[in-house]
Amino acid sequence: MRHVAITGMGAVSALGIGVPAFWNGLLAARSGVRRITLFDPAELLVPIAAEAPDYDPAAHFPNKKLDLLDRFSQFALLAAREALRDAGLDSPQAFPEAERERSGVALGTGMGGATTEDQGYRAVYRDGAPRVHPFTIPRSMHNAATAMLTMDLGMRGPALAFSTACAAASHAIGEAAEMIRSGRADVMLAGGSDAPITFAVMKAWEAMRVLAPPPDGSAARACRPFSADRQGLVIGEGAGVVVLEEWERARRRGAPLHAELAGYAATADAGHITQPGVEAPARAVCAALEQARLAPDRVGYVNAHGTGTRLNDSTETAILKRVFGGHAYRLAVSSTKSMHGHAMGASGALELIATVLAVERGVVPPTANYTGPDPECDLDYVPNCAREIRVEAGVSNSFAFGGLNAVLVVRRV
Amino acid sequence: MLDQKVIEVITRAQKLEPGRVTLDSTFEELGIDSLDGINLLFAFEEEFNVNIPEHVAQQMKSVRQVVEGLEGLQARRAQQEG
Repeated sequence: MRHVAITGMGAVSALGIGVPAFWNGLLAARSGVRRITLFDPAELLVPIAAEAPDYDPAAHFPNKKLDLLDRFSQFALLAAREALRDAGLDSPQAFPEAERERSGVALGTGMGGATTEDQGYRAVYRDGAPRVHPFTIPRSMHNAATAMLTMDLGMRGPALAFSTACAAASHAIGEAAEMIRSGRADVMLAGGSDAPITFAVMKAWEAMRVLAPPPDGSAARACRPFSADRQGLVIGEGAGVVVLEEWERARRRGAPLHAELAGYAATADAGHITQPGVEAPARAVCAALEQARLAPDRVGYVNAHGTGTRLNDSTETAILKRVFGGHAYRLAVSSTKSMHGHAMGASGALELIATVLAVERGVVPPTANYTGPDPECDLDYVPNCAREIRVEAGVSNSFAFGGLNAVLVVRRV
Repeated sequence: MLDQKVIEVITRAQKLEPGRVTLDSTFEELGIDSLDGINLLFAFEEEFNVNIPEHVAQQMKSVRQVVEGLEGLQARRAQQEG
């Protein structure tokens, strides 16, 4: 039986570029939500988002290369390069050509190249332009980031893009782990990226009436998962990428073993397009724990899907009670979306990284902006302050619109 | 006049150092692949406000051929308008 190690991690988020900025932000309960700067948000009802701060593409990529990189591909590349460096696989000596043929990429995205699409539509519909930029297709297609990673890093094994909305990265990581378990690949770069903060996408979310308004103009406090006065989610952006590696291979080469990716399961509600169910997500958590051969009471931390909407957070609480029974009240549960926002197709990867670090370092990140308990959300949500606890195993939940659920389980090394 | 403008557009679109592109440069020498070629056609169409039909585009493999092709299109347009 082949096992899967997590040997590298990379992140771009509203808390900054790189895993250290991400983790330090989480531990400090710092929110990355602010007024939108990518365009003038004056005509939005909710003019806030969790943008990657002070991000300058020209600082990271040569001009010519940028021509072909939508913002979501840029984020994916930055996170992937960091992850490969972290794993010690960023040189031809450490990671020879022949091994790269057994190494692939699995990336999730919800919206793909939204910025590029937005520019194209604006040109033809609003400005009446006779033509759009010829790179509109290669920049915006959902597999663009996946393809760019294979080219940039010479990964020549199986490469796939996953599009399951808010669970895309978790599905990508879980399926990549299955590829390693089944012997189809030895190393996989897996995760997700999204850059959905465009005027049109924000308008579409506005119409769904799920966006949290900034209380008293304080954008940072808008997203308050599990709190009684929570009012919705905040759109975010970024990328998370992990290096998954066959366990024995990773051990032989002395790779950093952040954690074991011990379990994964995917289920579908087959119910409602936006309203989450309880049974199917609960079944996904149980199946992922079963694959990891972990009894539920061995789990110490759950990184919740925790979007901050009325319905998600109460439903997720019910899911956790159904799976963990009385142990649900002893779990540390937190929603880091309160800080990095809902980064759509990147969420599952950013949250897995938070879960891995919690298990590896023995500190669980908090739920920021917590204001007080809701009777329907009565678990321990690690309010506002990170907490030092030894965690043997952590669970990361992702429940997408469409009722498509993915759950990942990591175990301490 | 048109020569200089075409050279400017190619230099800008391909992010080449100034002076690299001359009237005698071929696309091959400039490292312009098929995708770059599509990008250049878009840049010419925008800059010179013309539509470059496929049979004309296929003749554009060097800077001189671009200039000749554009001259042809502009002459035809002048004739139609005249």
